[in-house]
Amino acid sequence: MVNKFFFSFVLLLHLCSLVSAQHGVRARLYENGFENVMLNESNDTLEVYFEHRTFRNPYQSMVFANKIIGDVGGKAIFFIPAYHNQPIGKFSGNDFGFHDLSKENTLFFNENNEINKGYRFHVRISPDFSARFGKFDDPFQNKTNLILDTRIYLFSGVSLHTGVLLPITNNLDAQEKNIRLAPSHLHLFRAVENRHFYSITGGLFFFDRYGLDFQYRYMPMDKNWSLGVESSLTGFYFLPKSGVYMNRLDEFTFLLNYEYRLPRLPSISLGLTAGQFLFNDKGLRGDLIKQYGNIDIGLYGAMTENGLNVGFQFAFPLFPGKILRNRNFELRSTEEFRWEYGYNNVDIVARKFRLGTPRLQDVLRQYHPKFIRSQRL
Amino acid sequence: MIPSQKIKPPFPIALLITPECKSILKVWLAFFCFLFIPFIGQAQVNVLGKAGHIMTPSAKWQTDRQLGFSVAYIPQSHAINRFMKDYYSEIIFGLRLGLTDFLEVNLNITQLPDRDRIGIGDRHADLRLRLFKEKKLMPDLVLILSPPGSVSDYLGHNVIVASKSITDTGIGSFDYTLGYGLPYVLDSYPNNRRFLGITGQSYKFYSKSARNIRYLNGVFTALTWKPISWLGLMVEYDGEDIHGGLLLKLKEVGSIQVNAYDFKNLGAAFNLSFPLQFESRELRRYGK
Repeated sequence: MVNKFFFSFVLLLHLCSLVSAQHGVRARLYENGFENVMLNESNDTLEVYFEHRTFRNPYQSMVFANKIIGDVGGKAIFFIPAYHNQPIGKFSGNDFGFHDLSKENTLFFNENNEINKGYRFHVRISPDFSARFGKFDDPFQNKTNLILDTRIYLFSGVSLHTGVLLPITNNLDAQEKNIRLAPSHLHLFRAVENRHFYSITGGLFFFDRYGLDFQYRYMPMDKNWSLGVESSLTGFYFLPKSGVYMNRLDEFTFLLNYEYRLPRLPSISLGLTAGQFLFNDKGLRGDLIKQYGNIDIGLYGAMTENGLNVGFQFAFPLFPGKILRNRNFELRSTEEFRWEYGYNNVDIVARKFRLGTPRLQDVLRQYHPKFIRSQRL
Repeated sequence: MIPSQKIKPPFPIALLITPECKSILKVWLAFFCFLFIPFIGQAQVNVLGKAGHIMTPSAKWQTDRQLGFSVAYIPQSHAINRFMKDYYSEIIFGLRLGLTDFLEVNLNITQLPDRDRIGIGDRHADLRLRLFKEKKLMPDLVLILSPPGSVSDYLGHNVIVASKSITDTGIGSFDYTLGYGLPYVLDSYPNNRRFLGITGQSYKFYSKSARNIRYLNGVFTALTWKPISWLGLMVEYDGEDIHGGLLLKLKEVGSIQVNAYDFKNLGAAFNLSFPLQFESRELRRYGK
């Protein structure tokens, strides 16, 4: 009888210590900006589900989590990073090797997903910069705004993105410098069976577009290639001091994209996009994208009915990242400032528009297992 | 047509007072220094912003600092761009981007501060390929190729260049460079073929001298002597003239060069270089 009591007491203590250790890991991760943290512990493994919105590079968010968690009694750690409340894949904490998400992983995520309690309220600071160089009487024309925005998760993979735009300078076009609604939209993101990814966005976008945007990407994580479809139906909108001006919803785009990651240089991808760009402009665009980790830099060339263009693009997280963080609130700079410049600033060639949410292709490129592993070297 | 001349203020005021230049410098400094100040490094570059001396490139390679920005002032006497059949002092802005440890892309735009109403233009792009990495006896070997279609033919150059460093001499280190610039440039012109409604292009080599392109024709050579790590003296023959220069490496800021073209006419160059692979601030600071 005494033995039974003693055994039960030891077991209870052990369970309490396990729960307490899990709670400690969760709390430490949450303190350091990890959100919607879930731990699934077994005898020899610890699976860590998380989302970290300040990090653009998922590899660095996993390295960060590794540092915070430290040793967990010799158990193997697996990370399941999520993007917009959808788990993308499973990476070993030891060598960052990729594993497909199992049905159990998906079930565990869906059962424990905390849309309301798992996330802080983020205020993100993001500059919006457009420029044209070289006009003889005004060689540096630019429109610079500051955007304060947020993303609120409503359901699994469904979020509302909205904010306020504060104008700073404008000698580029005739738009007034009035404080106005920043690009705002509803966004649905879905990751299905480790290789099908969908994104549907509806609302106000950059480049004065409003409407609906659909993206699908087929990306088997064990392959170097991926295929995508992007389509949108948009119109022109304008927010002057008084009211709203909107044109008809009549601009249709449809693009097919193929991207190939160089096997020997896994941080370099080559892309080819064909179809109808904005303003009924049909043609081709080729991209070369180098991923440095936090920073992507790309060169492109486009050949369409409207003419030729070459240019570059880059994307990087804006310094300093986290500015203020407590239990329920975070003020930070944007995790991705993206900018593209084309040499031909007369003809509108192969023009797309930014959504305010990174495009599917640009997000998934960061999660490619070969790119993740290449950063270990 | 005789171009209108303005009274030219002395250098470096000439470099700083033009509104275009001020706008660009302000934006560059504010934007990039704000982002990258913790990572600022140093590099020795030529007036186009690629590894080099004064006018001439070298075969040196920066693998860990993939992004470079440069601005250089070249006096009228040795200006590269021939504008309306004449030469004017010029400011060349450069951007260097290392894509891999054997491929770099370089971009340039030029401004002529003594000419009104022409803004900034004359864009140029070229590729730099590392063919061989320096070993005990063998030098670094690099190929520079200017693709056709660049707006500024005057900056067009196709070059093979070798550089060798000699250290532990007791009086500092020496870098020696020897190269050859092809006296032809590849250019494109439209033809009658069309694809997707776009006019096709044909390509042909043109003699640089026939087009008054005087940048890097034939054999060039250069020597840099660094008696101490932050100071260098340069002398070079760019295929036409001999120039000298002084290089100051400022550890926290980048590098500044003062150049004497023909040992008479002064010019200057300034550059910054940054690594593009780094850890996020929050990750870096964790546990410190």
